[in-house]
Amino acid sequence: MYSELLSLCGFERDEIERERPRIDRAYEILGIGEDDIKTAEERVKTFFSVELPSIRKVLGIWMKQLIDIVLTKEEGKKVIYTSFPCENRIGAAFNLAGVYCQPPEIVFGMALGQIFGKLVPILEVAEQNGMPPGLGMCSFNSTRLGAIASGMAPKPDLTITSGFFCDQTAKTDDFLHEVYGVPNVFIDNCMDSSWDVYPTIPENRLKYFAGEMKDAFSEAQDILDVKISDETFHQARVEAAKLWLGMGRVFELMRAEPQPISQVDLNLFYWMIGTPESRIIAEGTEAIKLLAKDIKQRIDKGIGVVEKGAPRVVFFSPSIADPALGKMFEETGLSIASSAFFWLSPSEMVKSKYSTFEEKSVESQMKKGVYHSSAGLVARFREAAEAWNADGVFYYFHFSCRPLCISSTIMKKDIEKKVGIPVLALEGDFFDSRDYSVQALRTRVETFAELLRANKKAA
Amino acid sequence: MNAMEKISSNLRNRVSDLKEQKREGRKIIGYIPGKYLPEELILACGATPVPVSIFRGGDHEAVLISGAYHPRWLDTFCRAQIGYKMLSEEAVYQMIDILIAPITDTNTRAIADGWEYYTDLEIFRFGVPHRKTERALNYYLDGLNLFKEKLEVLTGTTITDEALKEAIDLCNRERRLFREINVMRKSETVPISSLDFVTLNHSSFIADKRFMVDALEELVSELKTKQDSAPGGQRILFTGSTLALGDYTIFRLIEEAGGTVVTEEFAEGLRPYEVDVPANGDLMRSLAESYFTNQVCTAFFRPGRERLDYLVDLSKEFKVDGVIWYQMMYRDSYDLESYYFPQILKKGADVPMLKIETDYDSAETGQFRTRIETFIETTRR
Repeated sequence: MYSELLSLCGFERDEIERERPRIDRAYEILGIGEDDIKTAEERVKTFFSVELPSIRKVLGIWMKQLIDIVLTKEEGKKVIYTSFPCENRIGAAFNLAGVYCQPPEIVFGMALGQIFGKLVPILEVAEQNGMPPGLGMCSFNSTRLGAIASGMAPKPDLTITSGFFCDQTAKTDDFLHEVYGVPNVFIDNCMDSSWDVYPTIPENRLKYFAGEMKDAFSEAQDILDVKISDETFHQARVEAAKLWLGMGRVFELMRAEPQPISQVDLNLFYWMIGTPESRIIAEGTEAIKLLAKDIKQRIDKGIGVVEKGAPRVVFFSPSIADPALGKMFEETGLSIASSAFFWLSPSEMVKSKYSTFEEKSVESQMKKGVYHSSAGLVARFREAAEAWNADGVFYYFHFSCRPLCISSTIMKKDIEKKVGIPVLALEGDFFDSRDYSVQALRTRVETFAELLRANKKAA
Repeated sequence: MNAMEKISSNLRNRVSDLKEQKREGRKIIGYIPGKYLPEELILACGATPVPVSIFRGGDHEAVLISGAYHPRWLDTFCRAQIGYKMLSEEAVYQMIDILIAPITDTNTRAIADGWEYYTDLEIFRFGVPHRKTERALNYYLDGLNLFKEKLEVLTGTTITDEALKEAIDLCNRERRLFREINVMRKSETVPISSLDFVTLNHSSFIADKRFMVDALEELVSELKTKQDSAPGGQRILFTGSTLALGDYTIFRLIEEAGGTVVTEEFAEGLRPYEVDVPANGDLMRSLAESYFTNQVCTAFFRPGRERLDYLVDLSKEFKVDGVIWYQMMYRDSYDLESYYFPQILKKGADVPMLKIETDYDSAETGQFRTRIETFIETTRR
């Protein structure tokens, strides 16, 4: 039933046979039937560059993660669900120590959403269990709750929550504790930096955040009775670094004209490097190597997803669950060069003055801007727009994310004034396809693309 | 009541008083009125505290105006503060020298960021952590120390221990008086209506502190000898995220439905009065411990169970028949708690809860009325 789909996702024939009992069991829990498989085949062929080995490989990684997360408790593993912003090396260390550690919303969004287009039932379960529709509840958190409440994702043994960026994320895990009895570990911080201090990181904020992170790591080990050795932690840092360094090469290749690969394809990698669980540690680096090779070949052959000389924009991130959106953005002829969120800027590459792992980690997270302040996020977009020589900024933001809401209007005014390029701020949902119409959004994106083309021609 | 009339009369002239103070060079310090800003520090440097956002709430126009500056997916009260500021119709919003923003969550950050970007007013932020740990307390204390330094620079006055102790004593007196009045509401015949009590509380943010304390003392004496009482009815605990000045429709609806609010608990808008500040030892640490550690947490804390248990205790102490949970649209921390709190409340105090969300829209009134009437009726069974 699913051999064709799994082949498109890079599975070898013997691998399918070997994994068949697990796949059958996982699909049974997920309620995936023949029609869903057909839909998934169609979606994968329509939205992703499955002719490229790297894309098949990364689709396979997400598909395997979906199967893993559904079965992880049945297979006897302890389970931790982290949330954003998550220190990915802590997650990687737990995974290397044999614990399943991952934010379920990302796995479900990427696999059940992107591949199967079947995320809405999970959101509906969340709506019936504490996150009612109409209140702008973040669909990251709705997916987290819905996956657990529906029984598709097992109830975790622990959540590690860094909810300072978003109140709702922390409160969702407080909810999971009160309603489902899940123990929590919180990593706190305060988004209280003055408007004009970014990129400087206030020392007291950094120390507070770092102390919280250190305690949370230790507390989580105590709660689960799992000891992460120094060697394991070192290995986690090495594995995470390999993923990011690999993507650094990809970011550089994306400077080519015409844009060599779709952001919809790249999105499969963005979220992978941010959440390195066991499958990603085992296969992610190879997938990224293949990606760099595939992109290089396209560049050498002059193949692109938009025309050469297309207006170039930077943006936040594609939808986690719906590739149709990103595809539509590029169909309007915009070259979406880089995600300001995932991009590694030169300011992030400088040597840290701090000595401990936690302090360095906090510093790198806050340099991303978004976890520093609203002003930091806006400054980050300015930096990305200038570094990528962008003709415009396309701020498609997740509307139910309160922190992103604060910045949206300010972002538009600030960049238009200081960088002198147009900004399109579009509200959307990264998970919930009921909340927007791709075709309705197309009209606005096309108009923006026309404006950028006219500007470019006039320049 | 003479004292209430005195307070009303004082408030009528308060804006012109503040203008006069400003002309004389006294600094007017605006702040977002949650639980976490010790007014004592402002008083101790000879400035006048004015919680900006307390002045207005409940108007849909301000919410609509805010749409030009922030998307709608933020807390109604916080959006409204952008609207009020940009409307430029409220004198106090325009006369403050600085806005102090204790950053509790994303929504208070939205006020600070919006005012920062769209106006020329100076904004000073300090953080309110979300956990009750020693590290969090120290972080909050660091913020208070920075706030103190800021005030000293702004006013040119050093905050001495003596001045701070005097301010703490004054504020403790005010808190004690509010507690005394609140306790009177535990009796079967409630001596003061909830709307009057809330109005008093809101007035205390605006009025001159010494005047207010004297007036409250007079009021307490009057209430002790008062013969008549506020209208009786089903006893209600009124709780939620924010209760701003002017956002009073709900009181009328409860009263008309046959209910009486006998006590309130809100994160923003109401002056906290349960915890005194010890006026000895390290006074800054005393302020930090009293305002941060010793106060019942808000829903922004993780975990937030302390507040929910406190509400159960309040329900029992005040012998309430029901709880009305009144929250702003898109205030997530409260929204999520409202899902599981009814079970905790039922188990702990055996009373029901009604949840109401507002977007400060007058069109909501009819629906609120029906729901409140039904709820009050239910509590009679």
